Amino acid sequence: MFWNNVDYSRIIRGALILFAVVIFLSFFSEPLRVANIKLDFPLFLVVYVGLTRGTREGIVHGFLIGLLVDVLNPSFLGLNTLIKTILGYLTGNFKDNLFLEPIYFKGLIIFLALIANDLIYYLIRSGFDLSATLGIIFFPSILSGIYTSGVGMLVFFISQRFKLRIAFKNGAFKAE
Amino acid sequence: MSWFSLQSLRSKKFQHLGIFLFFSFVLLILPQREKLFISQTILQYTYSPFFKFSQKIKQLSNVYEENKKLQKENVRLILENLRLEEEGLENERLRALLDFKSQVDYNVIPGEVVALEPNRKSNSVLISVGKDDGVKKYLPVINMHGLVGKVTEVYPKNSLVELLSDPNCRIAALVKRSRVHGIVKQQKGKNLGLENVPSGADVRYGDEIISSGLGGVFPQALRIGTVVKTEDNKSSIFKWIQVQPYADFNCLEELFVIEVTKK
Repeated sequence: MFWNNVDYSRIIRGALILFAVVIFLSFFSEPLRVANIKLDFPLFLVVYVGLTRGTREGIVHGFLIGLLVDVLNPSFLGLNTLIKTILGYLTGNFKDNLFLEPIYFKGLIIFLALIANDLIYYLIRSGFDLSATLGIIFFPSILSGIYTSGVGMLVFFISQRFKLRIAFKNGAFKAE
Repeated sequence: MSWFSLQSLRSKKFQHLGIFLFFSFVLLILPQREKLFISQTILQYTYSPFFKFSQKIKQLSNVYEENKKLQKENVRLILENLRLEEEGLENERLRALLDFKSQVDYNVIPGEVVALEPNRKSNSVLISVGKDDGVKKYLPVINMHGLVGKVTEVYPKNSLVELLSDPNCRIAALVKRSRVHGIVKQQKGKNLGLENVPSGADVRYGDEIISSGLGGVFPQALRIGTVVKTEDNKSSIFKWIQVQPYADFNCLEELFVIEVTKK
């Protein structure tokens, strides 16, 4: 049967990630804003899924997370979906290459992904007004990128430690 | 990178990307009404319950903030109340101290004017209270406005009150502001005069004149009148001061005989 081949753990994980996005945007988006600098948790999750789960999941999560972000601003519905789908795909391509790379490299990817996200998003939103887009990139986006990548590196660090400990306990000390 | 090669375009993951990008484009080019419908539908089933909850939390947070503010205000008011209580006690102590200093109390005997002196100018009145009511000779008489005079004759049921306008009536007085002493006595016209005030003394128009308590008949601080005119006469060593009495001697009705009692 079809459902015999379904990977339920993957569905549950995906649902939890989407749930985390909804919870974050409902409750923590404003409280976690530091000096008007926003933590882009949805984007971090796209990058995280891409880097840890690969392109396919990166694309799906990018699409769904982008859609969840877009519904809060319906006039540009599809824009975040499009950008985050691409970002999910791109970061997913780094999965096998960079999993064992230093954490700051992952932070750099988060930072670059955020800048790329904002660059495309505001470029399209502003009707390709480059000066207006760069105005946003050069202040809020860079700071938000630093903030998000900092938080992202911390999450990567914690999850990596957690994974290694589980692997060690199981007697199979190997990275996924 | 492998994802740029032609082979990769045929790969599953690229097809995957193509499908999701297609849906993204469809969403992007949808008419505004459809976009709104999709957004509202998704919002309703995803964010709405959490938004409501978030709003409740915010409201609760506001209640908490409000409560904190009110608690702060309450503490401030408690402290102010304590301060006022303390000041009230201090006031009581000071009052007690003042009473201790003056050591006087007044026994007030209310009466009514029953008769006026039948002369052109009434300088005395007959009141409805007498010896039976506790009235004694030389007790001061006041009305609601100020000092009226003193009892000169006492009968069982009535008393004769000599008004300040009588030429024989003299009261030791002082200027309330500058504490300059003098003697109030009748003058020509309806006003009184403050006499024996040295020339150059600090007495001004509008100063209030009160009894000084000297002389023993009138107690201290009974209101007499206000200064309406002052004049320094070079030929005299005294100042000429005209005082308008608070009490109107031509329309006296209710009077109060006051007896000073030592505490």
